[in-house]
Amino acid sequence: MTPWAPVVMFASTAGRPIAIRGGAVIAGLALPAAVLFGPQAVQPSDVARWFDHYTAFRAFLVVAAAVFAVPVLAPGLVAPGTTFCRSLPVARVQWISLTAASALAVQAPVLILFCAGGAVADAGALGCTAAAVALTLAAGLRDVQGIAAAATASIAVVVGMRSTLSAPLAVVMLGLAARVAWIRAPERAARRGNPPKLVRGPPWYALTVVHGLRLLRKDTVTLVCWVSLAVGTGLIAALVVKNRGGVAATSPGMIVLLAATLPLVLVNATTCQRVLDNERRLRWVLDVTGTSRWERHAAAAVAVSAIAVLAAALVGATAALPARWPTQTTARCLLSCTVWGVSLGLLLIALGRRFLRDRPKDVADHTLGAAVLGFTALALVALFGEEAAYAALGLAVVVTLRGCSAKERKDS
Amino acid sequence: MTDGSLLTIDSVSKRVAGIRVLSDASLTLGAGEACALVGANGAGKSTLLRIVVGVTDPDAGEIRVAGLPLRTARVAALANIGYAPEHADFPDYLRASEWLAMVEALKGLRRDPEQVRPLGLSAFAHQRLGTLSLGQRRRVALAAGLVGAPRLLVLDEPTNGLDTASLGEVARLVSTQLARGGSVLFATHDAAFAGQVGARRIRVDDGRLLEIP
Repeated sequence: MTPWAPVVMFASTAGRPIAIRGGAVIAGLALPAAVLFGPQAVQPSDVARWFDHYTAFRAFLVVAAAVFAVPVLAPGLVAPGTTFCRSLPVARVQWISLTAASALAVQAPVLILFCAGGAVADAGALGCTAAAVALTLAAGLRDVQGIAAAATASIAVVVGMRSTLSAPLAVVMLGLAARVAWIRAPERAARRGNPPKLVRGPPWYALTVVHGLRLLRKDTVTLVCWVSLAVGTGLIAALVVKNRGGVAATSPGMIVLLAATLPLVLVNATTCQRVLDNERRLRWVLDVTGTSRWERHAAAAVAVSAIAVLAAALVGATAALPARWPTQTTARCLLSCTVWGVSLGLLLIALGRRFLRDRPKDVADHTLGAAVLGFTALALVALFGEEAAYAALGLAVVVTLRGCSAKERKDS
Repeated sequence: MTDGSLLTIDSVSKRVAGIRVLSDASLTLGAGEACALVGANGAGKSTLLRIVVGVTDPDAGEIRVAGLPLRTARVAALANIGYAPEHADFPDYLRASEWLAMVEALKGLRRDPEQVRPLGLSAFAHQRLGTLSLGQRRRVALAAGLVGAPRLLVLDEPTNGLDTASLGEVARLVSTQLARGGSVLFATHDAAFAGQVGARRIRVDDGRLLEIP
């Protein structure tokens, strides 16, 4: 075996899912980063300065960097090919080093940001700390190692990254975390836990929870991208309002709706596709258990609406709260944005049922329908302002109720 | 129930992708009776089971469960059936316990813990379905079929992927079901299992159902 063989093998087994998910997360972060670090906004050196001065900001960055990395690293640690890697006659330290390196690579945005801000030592300490915590969480370790990782992160946060203690401690912790993650990740599936008993209650509720679990557990990266998209949209709306003379001189609610329409259509259209795909996969058990059409429609509508509410509220909150808009304006903006998100979600799921139910693989029609709906919605907001959102909600509710109460169709 | 039978398959025909799979198939299953469908791969055993449990509609003919026609009294008829498919499209992101809880919620019923205890689910109830072995997935499918203590159990290849000990447990489950007055309809290639549970054997051949003496 050549010396590079383990590297190639690691890259093609564990590295591949990490690279795919990492790429998606970084692409999702690019938009808000472009807004934040644009020519007129924050500089990397500002971030490094705040990082040194504010404990709360240090805590936020360590937690955010670790949390973003967990769904990226987790599939890599248990990728099917890694079982073969573990069985090869290769020194374990090589795999552990590669695991640590991949965890550090996932922290590339943070490392680049701090290096650009002239804080190379901070970059190393923060990157290693976040990577260690992320690896521990990604391997599903909740016991001693998890506590140790949390303790390291806490020390780093409290004493500051430039302390002589933090950097060496973070490097050692990363090595230990990589070791336990590589060795113990395969046991994750067999480890005992107490899953929350969420899937209870009436059929529509249970099905809604299952749709939600599908989105949470299978589309984690997509959710992260949605969060980034929503935050970026909110920031753009806030900047537009600011550049046009502030809240008093503009109609902030309408600007937020205009900025949010296409991102909300994108989020809702993707959610609808995932939820309807999930419903189609579960169709056999829904048929066998006699789950009625309205229960299936209601579950899908509630699941899509929940995501729409979260995305829309995030857009509204990101636009209004940091800029400290007046309370009444903020409340009105949040309400209209949420109503707009739910309306678009309900209309898109009706559209999805039309295009995706009979021909689930024909996504092109649904995408085209979503695009038409998006641009129509944009035109409506431009013409009628926030009132368009409330009118659309009425239409969406009627369409949803009609779908729920339609005559039961016999599937063959 | 009008004629004392728990399941009546009356002149059912079905074509799939233009090919005749079932032709004028008829079968009656009484309470406390087990019936094994045998036949070559692709003979139509699974299709018939899917028609019985309402996943697929027949082109012609009628299914009655406990006297209730499946076509017109669907929900009431299905409340009497528990189904364990051969290749269940399980959502791999759910834990076994969550899957069973979902089936319970959809049926509005609970499974009898004592009835499913022999299946040994507690050892892997917390694991995601995507990480389970074939045999463990079979046991989860069987447990889901037993939710609500149904009068008619419909099992598609119930012994596939099971070890010897689990085979014995499944045989005991079937016997328990029969002893409490329920019925079992299953498709199998395992003649020994069919004999062990004392099932009538029906050959599915060229779309027709032929009783094996």
